[in-house]
Amino acid sequence: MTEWAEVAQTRQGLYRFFGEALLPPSKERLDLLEQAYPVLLERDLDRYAFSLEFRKFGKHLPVDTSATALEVEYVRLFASGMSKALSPPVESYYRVPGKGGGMAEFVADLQREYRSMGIISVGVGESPDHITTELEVMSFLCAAESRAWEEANDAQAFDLLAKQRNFLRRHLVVWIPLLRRRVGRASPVGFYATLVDAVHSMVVHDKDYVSSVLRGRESS
Amino acid sequence: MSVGIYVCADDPTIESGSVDAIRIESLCRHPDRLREHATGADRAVVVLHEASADKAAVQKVLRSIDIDPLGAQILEVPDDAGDVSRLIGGLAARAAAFLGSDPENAKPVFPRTMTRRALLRPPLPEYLAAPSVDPDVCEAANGCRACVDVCPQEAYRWQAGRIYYNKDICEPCGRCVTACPAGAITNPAVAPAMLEAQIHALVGDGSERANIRFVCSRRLLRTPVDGWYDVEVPCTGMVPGVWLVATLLLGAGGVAIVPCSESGCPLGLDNSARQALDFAYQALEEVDGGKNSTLDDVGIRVAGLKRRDLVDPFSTGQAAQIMLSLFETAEKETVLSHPGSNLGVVSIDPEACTLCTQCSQTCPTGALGHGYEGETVSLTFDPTLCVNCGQCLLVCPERDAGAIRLEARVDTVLLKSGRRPLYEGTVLRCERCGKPIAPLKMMDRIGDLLGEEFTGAMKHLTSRCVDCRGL
Repeated sequence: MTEWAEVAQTRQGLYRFFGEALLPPSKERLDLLEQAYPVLLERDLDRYAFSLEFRKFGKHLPVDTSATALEVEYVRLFASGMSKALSPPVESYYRVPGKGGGMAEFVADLQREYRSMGIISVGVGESPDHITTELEVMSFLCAAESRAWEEANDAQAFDLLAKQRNFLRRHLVVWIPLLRRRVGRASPVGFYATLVDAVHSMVVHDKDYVSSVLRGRESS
Repeated sequence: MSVGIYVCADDPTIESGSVDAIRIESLCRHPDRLREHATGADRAVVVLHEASADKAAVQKVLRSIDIDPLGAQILEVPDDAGDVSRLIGGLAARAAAFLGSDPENAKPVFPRTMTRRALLRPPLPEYLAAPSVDPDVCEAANGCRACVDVCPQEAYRWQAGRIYYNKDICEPCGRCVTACPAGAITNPAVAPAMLEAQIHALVGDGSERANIRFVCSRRLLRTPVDGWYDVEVPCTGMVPGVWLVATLLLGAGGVAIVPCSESGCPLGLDNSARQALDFAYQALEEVDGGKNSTLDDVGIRVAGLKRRDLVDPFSTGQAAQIMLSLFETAEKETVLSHPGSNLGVVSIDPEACTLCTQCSQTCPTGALGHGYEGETVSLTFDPTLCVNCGQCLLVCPERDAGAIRLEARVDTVLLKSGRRPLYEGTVLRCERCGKPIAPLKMMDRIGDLLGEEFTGAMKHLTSRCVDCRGL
């Protein structure tokens, strides 16, 4: 596998990892995270600035509270319905003033954007603007990029990088900091605080990293 | 915070003196060896002796031992540097004062062009410390755009009361940090507390004379000069004159600015650095006629300048404290007009000013203020808060008529007198509820501009406030 393909695959794995971690916790899911964490770390993550926050989150694995306690925390933070959750993990909540009908329009626009990127259905059971969905979209794009590098199709790989950059700029990098602030106020320490910190660090870094790669290509 | 100090052992002439440092064989070529010697410290100073040492690789290893590389101090010493213990002590103090960074502060840097060869393997990014804007402190909503005005790369944009920062085009120089009147922009690698800690450590108790050079981070080779110690900044164009004065007041025997190259600053900020140095020297001359200070090719040297306890001297808004401290021993009150002054004095032309209060509403430091009392609206000015940012000039609708003037000036009489009235006039009040509507002069001016056909509308606008107009 070419090194560029490996980097893309690592990023794919990270987005998938974070997406899983932000789904409702269960013993099986937590075990999976515990197994995946060292595998990802071994992929030379210390090259990248976000590895500091990733390592901080890793200190919470294995989870030292019961899955039940974590479930309660998950519901409290993310899943008590839009009006009661302390930090709803959906983009439209943070981006649409006044909520209501505007949110539906926002989500419809997002679905159109997915289709324009060649993503027909987003099927993890959550809404198109749920954080796990958006992270899964990035995972999909990184996987496609990895395949393009493997096939020596540089043009397609850079095209996919441009799509990733645009998606990060327009969406994740805009609202994840707001989510992070809410989680930080509601639960300043612990599993979900460090997890959201790590996600925030990853998406901010990824936007800068992908932009730098594209800029380097544009000037060559 | 605990600081681990790691020195490459390959150059035996590098002496760390009494500093508790860990010497590591071939650290320059094998930075991964840091891992084996990690002490669990929160911060790090890494001393290398080869200019070709790979900073990106050092940063990677630091992350693997849970140290934020943006706060780590990496020192590259030239051959036969000798005793660098004082330099290391300064860097350790600076590292210890590092408060951490946010993900927004790390800017990955790749080679400028990605050749076909580079396409074969992803380069290891080096990370620079980029600034970030605190939206809770930023005064953009009131019209301030000081960062937009000073950025040499146009990385900032003001739109609809918000500042937008483009990290992609930013080449961190620090100008925005020192230019922001509100202190809303910070760069974690050059925080005020870090500079203060480093300079205190370098100057020590004053028993051995230490001179301080502010050096550009882009400078590739630094020729050591005996008795001069380097304090690195992203670009010397960010160094204001008051920092040089503060450094002398903290006990340094001299100050200098060393730009990145003799052929000129690539960001075009040479003039800023020269101006800062000249301002500091002119200020010293005002104290005692220049009897105890000299300016030569190396920098400014002083003798007999009394040390002062300054509070947070490298933070925003400390210029008044610093200049008053300097001039307290001057034989007479001081007036120093200089383009490099970090203090300003605002004056109003009562013929042209309409008391619209745009200037005071925009003033990001509160130096300009306004208030309503009875039938009067008054504009006031506190010179200790004015940082000469010029935002008041930009928003004044009558600036072409000379309604407001700003002079870059240190005036100790004014600084000691505190807030004073600049101009006052009559305020129109709502005939229904009594709330202030607008200054009379401003409404007269608007009426003049609109012309006679709007006389009726103006009468309505000047008799009722916006809440009562429809009633």
